[in-house]
Amino acid sequence: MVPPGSRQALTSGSDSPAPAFGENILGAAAESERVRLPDLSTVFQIRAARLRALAPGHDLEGFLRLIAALVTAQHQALSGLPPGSMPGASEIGKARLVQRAPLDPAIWSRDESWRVALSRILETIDLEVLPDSARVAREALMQADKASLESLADRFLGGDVAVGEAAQAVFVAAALQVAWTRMAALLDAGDLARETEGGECPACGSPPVSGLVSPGGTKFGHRHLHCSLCATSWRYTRVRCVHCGSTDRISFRNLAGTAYLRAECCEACHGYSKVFYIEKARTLEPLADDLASLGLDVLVGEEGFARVPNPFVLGMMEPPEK
Amino acid sequence: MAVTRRQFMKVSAAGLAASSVGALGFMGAGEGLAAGVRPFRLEKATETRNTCPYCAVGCGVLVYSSADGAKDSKARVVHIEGDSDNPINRGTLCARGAASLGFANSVNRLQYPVHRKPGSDKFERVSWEFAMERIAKLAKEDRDKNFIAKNRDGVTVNRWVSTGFLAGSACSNEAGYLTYKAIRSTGILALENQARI
Repeated sequence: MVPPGSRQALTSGSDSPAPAFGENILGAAAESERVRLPDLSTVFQIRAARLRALAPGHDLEGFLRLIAALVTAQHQALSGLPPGSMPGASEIGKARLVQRAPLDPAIWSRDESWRVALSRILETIDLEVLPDSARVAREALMQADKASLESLADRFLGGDVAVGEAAQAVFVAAALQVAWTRMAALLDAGDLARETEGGECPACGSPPVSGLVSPGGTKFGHRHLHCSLCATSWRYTRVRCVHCGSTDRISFRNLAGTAYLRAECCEACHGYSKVFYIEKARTLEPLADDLASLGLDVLVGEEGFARVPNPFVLGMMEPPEK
Repeated sequence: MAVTRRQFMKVSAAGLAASSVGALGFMGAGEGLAAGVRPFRLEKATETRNTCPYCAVGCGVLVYSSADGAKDSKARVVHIEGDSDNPINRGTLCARGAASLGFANSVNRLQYPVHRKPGSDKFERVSWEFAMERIAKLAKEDRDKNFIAKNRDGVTVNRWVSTGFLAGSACSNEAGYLTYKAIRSTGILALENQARI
């Protein structure tokens, strides 16, 4: 005879219930989350604050201040964005069937809310930090009609932006980030669980901007990659190439004297990605610190390695020789 | 030529000026950045997954090695820590495992075969060929002398009980399988694993 309630507890318990206050979890499997969805209330604010803290005295001070203003405008655009559409259970199921991320721009068609985000970003961005050419790009986007904006967004997401549009693409990328971050935040992390981990975002299929390794020892020490589009982060094995999945011939390069950041270089595909160590510097933010550490990219590029660009540093950089 | 958010790009000072950084109005920023970073040296290190050599738990370790600062530019192990992605130890190590850096770099570590001749009181360095041949010859001699093909009742048993074999602890299942197959095929029964010590 099973006591009342026990049967239910046995059948419908959560797989990994959060420990209650004071509950002893010794002996339980200490695992960090496989997927962390973005927190809409803080994601852009933390990023903007980090960019403002990094800017003073930096070689790219003006650029970092511009992106800080852009991210602040993203935060403002996020609050009061009109209701959008989300993939339902059937779409998520279908996406899983074809092994794509549910918010992959190739299979999920965006709604119009991103253009509202774009116009708000263009309206509210601090004009004082914008150089003339950035203002020209802003004006051009404000004048642009719906069709050309949609086609620019398609080209950005599909990876086919013309060189002359690089400045406009930054604003478009920011608006798309707002829309995709909101959609990702409304997903259920359980729907994104995958059997095999990949180098692409489980929520939207975009490449990661950088990886963060949490403090080691008794606190997991796992690496989480951070999505360049929707700010979702997901766990990925350390010492494994983000681009080709190789675990062979991985080497790390860092500026002499800096311990918080290393470039994980793969000799197999000649790609690299940045790995930040939270243990060494606690205030890290994946996208902001990636922009602030472009100096490392220059040196690592000279050694013959290439990366997937940050969405705000899109442009004609040297393609790697084959 | 198109600009893409998915494909590989090499970052360079000139490239930054041609990217959205330059397009937004920061043309000279790339050169300034490159000049600012030029005085820094790039340090190189490798991280290698391995299994801790001590006991049978088989904890995963990450071995950091670097050639920086070494006179002969030969890479040396500089740090060893638990592998967070290993399901067995989840990044933790016991006191011995955590101290295995000293084990790897120990000056007392045996790096080549040594041989103490019968009647001698000291070890001498020998070649691998010599060591292999010597062991094989003695094993063969012992097996020829003591091999038991049939027991008292005439049943075939093929035993070689005068020699035992001790295998390593940090072996994978596959290495364990091969060890068992190779050693049992000689008739050895006293096959043991260092795991139990």
